[in-house]
Amino acid sequence: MTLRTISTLFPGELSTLLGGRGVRLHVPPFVIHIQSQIPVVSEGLGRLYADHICLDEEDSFADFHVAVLLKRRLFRPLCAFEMDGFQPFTPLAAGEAFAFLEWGMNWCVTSYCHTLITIHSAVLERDGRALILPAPPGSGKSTLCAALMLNGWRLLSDEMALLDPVTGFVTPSPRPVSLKNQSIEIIQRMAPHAVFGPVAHDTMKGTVAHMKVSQDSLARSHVAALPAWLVFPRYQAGSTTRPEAHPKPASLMQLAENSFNHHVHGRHGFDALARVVDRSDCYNLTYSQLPEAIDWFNHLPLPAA
Amino acid sequence: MHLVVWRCPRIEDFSLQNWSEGGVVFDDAEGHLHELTLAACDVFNLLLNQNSWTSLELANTLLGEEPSLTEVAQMDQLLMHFEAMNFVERVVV
Repeated sequence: MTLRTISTLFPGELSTLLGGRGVRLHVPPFVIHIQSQIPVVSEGLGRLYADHICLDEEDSFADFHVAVLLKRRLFRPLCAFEMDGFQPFTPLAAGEAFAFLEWGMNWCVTSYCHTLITIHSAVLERDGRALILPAPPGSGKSTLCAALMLNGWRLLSDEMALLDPVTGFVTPSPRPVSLKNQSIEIIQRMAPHAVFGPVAHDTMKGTVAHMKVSQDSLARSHVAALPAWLVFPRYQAGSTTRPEAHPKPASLMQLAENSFNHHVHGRHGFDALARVVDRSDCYNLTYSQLPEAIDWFNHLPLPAA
Repeated sequence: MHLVVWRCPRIEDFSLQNWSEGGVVFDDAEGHLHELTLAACDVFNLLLNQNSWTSLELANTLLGEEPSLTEVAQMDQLLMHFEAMNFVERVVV
């Protein structure tokens, strides 16, 4: 098998490949075949997936075959996301094409990957144990996730925990961290050297940009982690950093609500989620000051055995 | 004289996870989760482990002593709540 990273492709080779036979990108634990003639997609992949491996066509199977296609060239150009020739979403503005690819890949995993239980959450690791941050949009999850990664935590995912229902371990799938609106500037100020991809304006989520994952997170993407902490974050402007123990029954209910597919596994899915809650310390965290919140996370003790 | 007993007709459908603060029951037939108080967990656990109970027997077992009329009435309320959730059925014997 021929292994090259995106960054080792010749100048212009990435956009040529994307516009032609496509690129088979190893996005652990998946291989995703991507095609697109839209320049912003090539720009985003080139910057944010520079260290990800792209596999030679003849050697590799792909879990998903996706494309972002230009639908209308003139007068408010539009693009469409496609998987196996099927377009599951209405078209978006062409300027959102890279963000559309990211959202589309998330959809592929949550819609079709059912050997693992997917939970809408950020997941990071420290000392071999996983921190799961399940949260609805607007809770500040992604900002926290980016900040924790910049402060030494290994990123497993900013979007979904992939829980093995048999082993109880979370499988890493490190991809660019999606940030919105003021969070973009906050994280850029925190880490001026962080690599960001193209900015999409006026999306349904506002302004969106993605931040490249740390090299350590990608280098250790083969190392799963056992959950130890379940924290439900809530950003509240002006608040102090307020952690509270969250009752386990309520934690299990919320974890299940944030799961896309535990029902596919029936009783075994429920039992798997229950084991996560049982072995984890569970908290609500209200915060507004990112450095204070990071400090609290950094001092979280491991759960009692 | 008729006696009302309560039983869980679908024991194999339920998975109960409980902690010191209460618990959650999963109904595999309907795919729903339900959060329970600690007391409700204890009652449901008894129902899952024995074929049928009167409300007096359940209250007695939980309290470890003869229950008051009020306590039996509270147990009846809880069992009717379980009945509404399709967890248990009442049988007149």
